Amino acid sequence: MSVAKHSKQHWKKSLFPWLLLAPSLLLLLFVVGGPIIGTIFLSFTDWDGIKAPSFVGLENFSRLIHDKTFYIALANNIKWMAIFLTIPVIMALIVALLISKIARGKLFYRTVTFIPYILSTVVTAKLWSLIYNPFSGVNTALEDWGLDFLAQSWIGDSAIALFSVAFADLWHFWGFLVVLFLMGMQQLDKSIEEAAVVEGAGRLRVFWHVTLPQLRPTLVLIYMLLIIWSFAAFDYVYIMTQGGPGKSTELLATYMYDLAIYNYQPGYASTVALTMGLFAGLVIIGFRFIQKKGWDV
Amino acid sequence: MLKRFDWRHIPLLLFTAFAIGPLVLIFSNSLKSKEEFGENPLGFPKELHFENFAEAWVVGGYGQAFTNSLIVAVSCIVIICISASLAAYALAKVRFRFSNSILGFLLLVMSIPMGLFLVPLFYVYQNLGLMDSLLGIIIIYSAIFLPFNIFLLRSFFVSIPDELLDSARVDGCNEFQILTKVVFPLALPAFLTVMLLVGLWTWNEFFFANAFLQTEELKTVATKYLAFTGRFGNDWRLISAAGVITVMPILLLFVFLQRKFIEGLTEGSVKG
Amino acid sequence: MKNKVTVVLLLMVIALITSACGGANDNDAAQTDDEAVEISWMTYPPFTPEYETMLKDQIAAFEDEHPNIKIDWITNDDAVQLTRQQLAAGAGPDVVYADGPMTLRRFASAGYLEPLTDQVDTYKWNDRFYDWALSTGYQDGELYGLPKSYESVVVWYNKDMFAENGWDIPTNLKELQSLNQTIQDEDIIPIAFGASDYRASNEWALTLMYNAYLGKDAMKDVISTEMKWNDDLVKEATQTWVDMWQNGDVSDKQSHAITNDDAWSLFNNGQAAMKIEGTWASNRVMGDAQNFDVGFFVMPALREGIEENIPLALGGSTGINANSEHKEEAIVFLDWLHDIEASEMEVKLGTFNPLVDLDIANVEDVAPITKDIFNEITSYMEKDQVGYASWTYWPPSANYYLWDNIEAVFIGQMSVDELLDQVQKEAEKDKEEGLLFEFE
Repeated sequence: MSVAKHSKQHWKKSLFPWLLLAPSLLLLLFVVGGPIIGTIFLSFTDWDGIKAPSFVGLENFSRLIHDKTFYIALANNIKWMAIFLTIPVIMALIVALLISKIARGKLFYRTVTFIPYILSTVVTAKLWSLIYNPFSGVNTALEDWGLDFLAQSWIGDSAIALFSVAFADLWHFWGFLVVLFLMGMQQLDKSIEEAAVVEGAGRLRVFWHVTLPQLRPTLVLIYMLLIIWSFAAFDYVYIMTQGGPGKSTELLATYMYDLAIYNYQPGYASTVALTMGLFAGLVIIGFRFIQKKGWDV
Repeated sequence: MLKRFDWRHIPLLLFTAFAIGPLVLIFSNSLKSKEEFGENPLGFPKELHFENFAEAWVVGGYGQAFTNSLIVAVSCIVIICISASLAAYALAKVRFRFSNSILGFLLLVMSIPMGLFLVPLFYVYQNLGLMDSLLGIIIIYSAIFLPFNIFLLRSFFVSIPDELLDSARVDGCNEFQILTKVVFPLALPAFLTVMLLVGLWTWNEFFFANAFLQTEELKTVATKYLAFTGRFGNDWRLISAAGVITVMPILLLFVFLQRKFIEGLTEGSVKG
Repeated sequence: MKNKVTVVLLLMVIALITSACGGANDNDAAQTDDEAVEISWMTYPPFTPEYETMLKDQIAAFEDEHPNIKIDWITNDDAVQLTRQQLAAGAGPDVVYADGPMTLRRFASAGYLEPLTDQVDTYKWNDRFYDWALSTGYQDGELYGLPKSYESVVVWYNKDMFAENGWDIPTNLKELQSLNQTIQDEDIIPIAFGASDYRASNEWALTLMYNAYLGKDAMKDVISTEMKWNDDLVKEATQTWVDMWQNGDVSDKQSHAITNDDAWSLFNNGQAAMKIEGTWASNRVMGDAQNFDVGFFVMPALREGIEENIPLALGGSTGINANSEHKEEAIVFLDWLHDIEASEMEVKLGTFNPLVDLDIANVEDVAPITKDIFNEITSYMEKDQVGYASWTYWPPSANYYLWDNIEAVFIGQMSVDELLDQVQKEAEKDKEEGLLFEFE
C-alpha cells in the first residue's frame, strides 16, 4: 500500500517537469523540429529547390572544404563575433554601472539607451545606409567641418565595410545589453561592495574583485547569446551590402541565403546551415563545460 | 542647497548622444520637403512638413496593419509568457534527467538560421490551412522567440532562493501554487522584460511575415514598411516619416512599460 | 487589484484572438456565397503608384468583362522566390508569374506548370506574339507560358547638360572614353550606377558592355558555349568595363556602396551625366523627377568591325499552376493579360508586351520618351540588330557568378582571368544540366 503510494508520488514527481515543459516543447517541435530534420536530410542531397532532391552522400561536404567563399564568410563571422564580444559589452557594462550608481535620472538614461533597440531592423539599416552614403551622408558633414581625412567609403571600402555594417547593428543592439546588465545588477548583493569600500578598496578593485564576479551569470548569458547570434547574423548585411563589396561582408547566413535563393542550390545551402548548427553545438558544449565547473547561468 | 554634480552624467550624456543622434536624423528628415532633403540631408529642417506623416500613413496603408500587428504581438506575449515561464521553472528549480539536453536543444534552436525553415514550414502550413492567417504567424513567432525568453526567465528563477520555496511547501502550498503564489510575483520585472521584448520582436519581424502573410489586409506593420522602402526608394522624407510611424507605438509602449518596469524591479527585489 | 488587471488583459487577448479567427471565417463565408471563381495571381509590388493604378484598372476591366471570375491579386517583395517555395509545397498561385523564361522553364521541368500547347490555336498565340518571344516559353516541345514585357538596356543621359557643354553621343569606344574624361574634368560623374541593394543589377551593365563589345554573333556563340567565356574577346569586354570603373567613370568608384535609387538621385541632381539602366526606367524619367530633358542612346559598337545592337530580354513569363483548381478561368485571365487591350494600358508606363500588333502610335497620352524608346527598340528589331540580355539568355550559374563577383574585380580582389575561368566552369555545369538557352 505505502509502496504503491510512494511509486505513484514518484511517478507524479518525474512527470511534473515534463508537464511544465509540454507547451514549449510542442510548439518548438511543431515549428522547428521538422525543419531541422529536413535540413539535415537536404544537406546530403543535390537539390535545385525545384526538382526532386537526389542523394549525393558527402559530396556537399567535400565541396564545402574547398569552398573559398565559405572560408571568407566564416572568417567574417568570427570578426563579427570579435566585434560584438568586445565593443558593445564594454559600452553596456560601463553605462549600466554608471546608471546603477547615479541618484537621479536613472529612468531617463535607461530609456534613451534602449530606444535604438526599439527601431525595426529595416528602419535602422536604412538609416545607416543614409549616414554611410558616400555622396550625401556623414562624409559631406565631415567635409563641411574640415575633417576630410575622416571621410571614408564606409561600406564601399573592403577594409572597413564589415566593421561599418557591424557598427550599425551594434548601435541598434547595445542598449539591449544595458538592460540585461541592469537586470543582473539588481540581483547584486550590495553589502559586499559596501564592505569592500569601507575597507578602503579602490573603485577599480571593487569592480574587478567584487562586482564583476557577482555579474558572472549575466556575463555568461550575454556571451553565449552574442556568440550564437554572431553566427546567425544576417539582417544588416542583407539589407545594407548583400555581402559586398566583393565578398568583404559575406557572412555564413547571407551566403547560405544567396545559395538557396539566387543560385538555386538549397541542397548545398543546407550543408552550410548544418555547419552553422555545428558551431552552435560547439558553443553548447562549451556552455555545459562551464556549467560543470559550477558557474550557473 | 546646491547638490554636488555627479561626474557620471558626463559620460552618460555622451552615450545618450550616441544613442539618439541618428534617431534625431530620422525625425528631422521626416519633416523635410523633398527638395530640402536633396540640399540638406543631414541638417535640421527649415520648415516643418507634418503632412509627410499623413501621406506616408495613407500610401503605406498602415491602418489595418496596426490592428494586425497588435493582435499578433498581444497573442505572442500571452503564449510566450505562459509557456516560457512554465518551462523556465522546470529548468531552473526541478531536478530531472535530460534537463541539460533540453537547454542544449533550446540553444541549438536559437542558433539556426531561420531562413531554412521556410520550405518545410510551407509544406506543413499548406496542409493544415495555416497559410496566410494571423494564427499561423502567431504560432511561428511564439516558437522562434520562445527559447530566448525561457533562458531569460530561467536565469531569473535560478536566483530565487530554494529556502523560500521550501518554506512555501511547509506552509502547505502545492507545486502549482508555489509557481503562481511565490515564483511569478517575484519574477514580475522579468515578465515585463519578456513582454516588452516579445512585443518589440514581433512588431519588427519581417522575414516570416513577408513569406506567410500574403493578403494585403493581413500584413503587419514591418512588412508594410519593407514594401514601402522598396516603392519609395529615394524619397527619404517619406521613408523617414513611415519609419517614425512604424516605431511610434512601440516607443510609447516602452516608455509606458519602463516606469512599471522600474517599479517592478524595486518591488520584486529578491535579495534586498 | 493586480489580479483584476491581469484578468481584464487576458479577456482582451481572448477577444482579440477570437475576433481575428472570426474575421477569417467571415472571409471564407464571403467566398462561398459569391458564385464567382477566384483566381490568385502573385506579382512583385508595383514600383510606382502609377503602376499600381494601372494594374488595378487592368483587373477591374477584366472582372467587368468576366463577371464569373474574380482576381485575387497578391503582391510580395520576393514574389518569385515565394512562388517557387509554394510550388515546391504543392501550392502557389493559380497564375504563376516567373521573372523570365529561364525561371518559367525551371518550373515547367519540375512539373509545376500546366502545358498550354493545346491553347495555342484557340487563342491564336502564334499570330499574336513575336516568334522569338513566344518560343522562349517552350520546354521539351510543350508551351508552358506566355512572354511578358520585352526590354533592353540603354544609356540614359542629361540632354541639357550634354547640349550646354557641347558633348556628343559617342559612336565608338575611344569617343566613349574621352567623353568620360571630359565629363570628369567638369567634376561631374560620367555614369551613375548603384547596386548595393540589388547586386544582381550589375548584370545590366555587363549585358550592355558584352553585347556592345562582342557584337550579337559572338555573344550568341558565347551563350551557347561555342566560344568560351574565358576567350580573349570576353576578357577584353570585361576589362573595358573594369577599366572604366577603376578610372572613376562609374559612380566615382562607389557603385557598390550606393543603391540604384541613390544612383538615380545622382543623375536627377545633375551630379552625374549618364545612367545605365533598362528601358523600363522610362517611367523614372517621364514624370517631374528631373528638371532637365532626359534622352537615351544605344551603346555604340565598342569594337571595330561589328554593328551596334540593342540587347533584348523578356521581363517576365507567366504560366498556369498545374495544381490549380480553376485552370480554365486562369487561362482566360492569362490570355487577357497579354491581350492588346491590357497591353495598351501598360505601354504608357514603359512595359511593352511582345505582340506583333502592339503599336504605341495607337495609344493616347504616352510620354514622348516612352514613345522614343518603343520606336527605337522596334527599329532595331526590324533591322535585326538585337543582342542577348543576361537575364533571358545567359547560362544561369555563369551569369550568377559573373554579377556576384564583378565587384571583387573592381576593387582588385580578383582578376578578370580568374573571374572568367570560373564563369566558363559554371557555364559548362549549366550545359550539363541542360540549362543553356536553346536557340532555334
